[in-house]
Amino acid sequence: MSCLDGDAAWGLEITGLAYRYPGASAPALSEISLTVEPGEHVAIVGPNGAGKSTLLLHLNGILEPSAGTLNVGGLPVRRENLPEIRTRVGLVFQDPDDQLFMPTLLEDAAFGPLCHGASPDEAEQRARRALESVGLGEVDTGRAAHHLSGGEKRRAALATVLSLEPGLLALDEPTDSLDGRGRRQIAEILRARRQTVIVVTHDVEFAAAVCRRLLLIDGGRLVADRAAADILNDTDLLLEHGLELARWLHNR
Amino acid sequence: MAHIPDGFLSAPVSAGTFVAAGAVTAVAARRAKARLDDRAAPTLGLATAAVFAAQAVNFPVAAGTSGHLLGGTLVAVVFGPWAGFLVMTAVVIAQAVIFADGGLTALGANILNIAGVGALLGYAVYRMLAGLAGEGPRRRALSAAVAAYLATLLTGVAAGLELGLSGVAPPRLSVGAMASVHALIGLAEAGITGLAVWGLARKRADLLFRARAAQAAKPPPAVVLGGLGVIAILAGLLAIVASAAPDGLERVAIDLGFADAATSWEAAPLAGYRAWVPGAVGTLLAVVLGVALLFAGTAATVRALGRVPGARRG
Amino acid sequence: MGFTHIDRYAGRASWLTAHTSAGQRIWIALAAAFAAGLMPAGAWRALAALGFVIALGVWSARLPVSALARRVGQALPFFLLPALALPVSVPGPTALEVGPVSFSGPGLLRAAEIMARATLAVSAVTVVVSITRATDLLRGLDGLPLPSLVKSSLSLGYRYVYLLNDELERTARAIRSRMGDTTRLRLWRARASTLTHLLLRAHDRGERIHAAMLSRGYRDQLPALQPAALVSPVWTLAIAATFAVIWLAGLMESMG
Repeated sequence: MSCLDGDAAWGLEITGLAYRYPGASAPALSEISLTVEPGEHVAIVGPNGAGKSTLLLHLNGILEPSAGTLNVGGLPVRRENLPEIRTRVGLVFQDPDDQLFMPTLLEDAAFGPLCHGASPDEAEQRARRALESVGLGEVDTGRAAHHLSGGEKRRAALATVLSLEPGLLALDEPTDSLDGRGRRQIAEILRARRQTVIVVTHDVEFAAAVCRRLLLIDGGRLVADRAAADILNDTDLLLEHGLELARWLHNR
Repeated sequence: MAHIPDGFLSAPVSAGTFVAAGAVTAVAARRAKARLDDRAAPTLGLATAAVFAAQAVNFPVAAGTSGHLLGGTLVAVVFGPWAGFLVMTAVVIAQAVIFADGGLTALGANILNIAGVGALLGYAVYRMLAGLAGEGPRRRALSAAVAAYLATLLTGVAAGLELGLSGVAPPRLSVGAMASVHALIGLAEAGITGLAVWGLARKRADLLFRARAAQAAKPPPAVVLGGLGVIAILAGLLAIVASAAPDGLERVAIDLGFADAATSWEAAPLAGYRAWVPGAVGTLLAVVLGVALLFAGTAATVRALGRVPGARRG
Repeated sequence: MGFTHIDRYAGRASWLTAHTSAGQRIWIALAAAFAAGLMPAGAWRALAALGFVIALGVWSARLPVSALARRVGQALPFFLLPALALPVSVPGPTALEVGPVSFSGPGLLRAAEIMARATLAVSAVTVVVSITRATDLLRGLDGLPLPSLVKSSLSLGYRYVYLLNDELERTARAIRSRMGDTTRLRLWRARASTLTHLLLRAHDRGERIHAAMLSRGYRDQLPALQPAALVSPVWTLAIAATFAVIWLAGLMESMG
């Protein structure tokens, strides 16, 4: 698998972020503040419903915060900046079928560049490079996505975002319903990235394998921000926030 | 059953329906875009996929036969009249091209019948009935069911008219036959649509389409409603006249060149012609339908008049 | 259900796939359908000529006749109308007597003509559709004067019909497994309930796809699908011209 050489890596700065879904009684996020350096690989872990996915949706302006600010590479995430922000932030959603919506794989990968004004030739080139970088260079790109396996779809979804060469990659549950091999492929792809990578996952061990730093979110608040190895060893912290390691299943 | 194949429609009818379908499609595209903005493509796309999938669901009727959803009114109730029209247009095109269900020369006619009558007219009837019946899942469902029935019946009448004007059969017979068949199909459509709307209204009533209050840039709903009302009145009159004086309609068709003079049925053995049972049933249906349309059309026009800007709200 | 046959024959190489692009083939299908569908009454020789050309296409695509027969069969209910009405109403010498009703010769011919026209049109369209991949067909639609929302509806509709269908079957199975022997009304309610779920799913997925589109820079139009390899239009024009000429000949035949 060849690496897509994207040089730019954007940092992320979040200050006092809060968000409440319309009509909800409790806020989904409160007082989130964190900084991610360019090129860092960070994982966001936490129990279901903690607000991890909600946080991700703020990175490229899909959701607007009720309070607080976000900066990507120094550029504030505001409506007037969204076109540029969306070239800087590549958001990979939880369900790859939601992102593979064009009739063919190639068109899916080319969608981003085309929307940003690239010529059809340039868009196709970027698309092919991106697909190759995730190991899908040999697949028939003239067919639709429903022919792909689960792991292939996930990699294809990643490629649709890589074709824009974003400096910040954000992924929501990238190993959902993948088998061991699929999980390894994703882990290797992410580890090799030079861009900033933010992975939201409930799979703590995967997070620790891919990222050096873990952010623990629970109840919409940032509860811990430490080195991955640190958090893995802090059994009390993990238990308190509903996270379990697979090896613990032996003991109880 | 509702899709007219190639080879039936005459050139003038084909051309005329194409022009009409094209005009309505252009309007629908603008309206749907205005309402949905950048959500339009994904919303309509998934709605189209849903209709394809839904049309495959089996609703057993009796001894081996089963009914399937056509979908025009259901889509309009959920996504709105113009969005529904566009979705059904895509469905009709796909059916014609991929499944050879419906002809390409008949595309205009089929779009008018299934998307125009099914979605647009079906929605109009639904709105009026819902306005009269009130809120609540059961009332909505009932309004949708009745609207779906009338829309399906009218789809048949429209197809029958197009076939009759093309000289495929005496208009009274073609309308009668098509209307009879669709009177039955409409029952399944009504049942399925009503039940589906009922389920949706109970779970997520907010997903059902709600017409927006008139905005400055758009034409007031009074005009739209009034227009539909007038069309309904005219259609009602036409249906009654057609059933009462079928020879007159044929004469008009021949004079206008729609039907070949060689198929003039004046010379036909009258005994065989009048004995057609479908014709009699069709006539009855056409009259009932005509009256219903007159009623609905009048109600719509009256309501529209009441909504003219400046008029007092009751 | 009926979607599985969409790409079944599309892999076959044939003269048509070699010499025409998908978009051009759509125009050929349109030309054939119009020439057949609008062939004037009485133009038997022209219809035969048309039939010959279309039969060539069927043979070139190596289409099994069963595929054609199935599609033509769909129009059967419609055939009843002219088959029963025209022989009775069109004046002329009686060709057939069935009980008290007499069918005229010219009337039977007219009915047969309608069936012939329909069959030819269906065959032509089936040939084109069968040898073309669905994704190429969608790309070919770009050349047609359809509103972009209709084109995107077809594109997304094709992409997600399998997914929604799978989810539909899963929901249906779950509901069915909870029912035992049951009345028809309950069955209808159960099936309608699957439709409700289908609509909800379609809505939710539409929202998520919208978010995904926005994330990649979508404004308000699906970007132009990339133009496929350019194929010389020579053969397409020749074929379309052939259909046009046959139709004109038919026009003269019907008047002369």
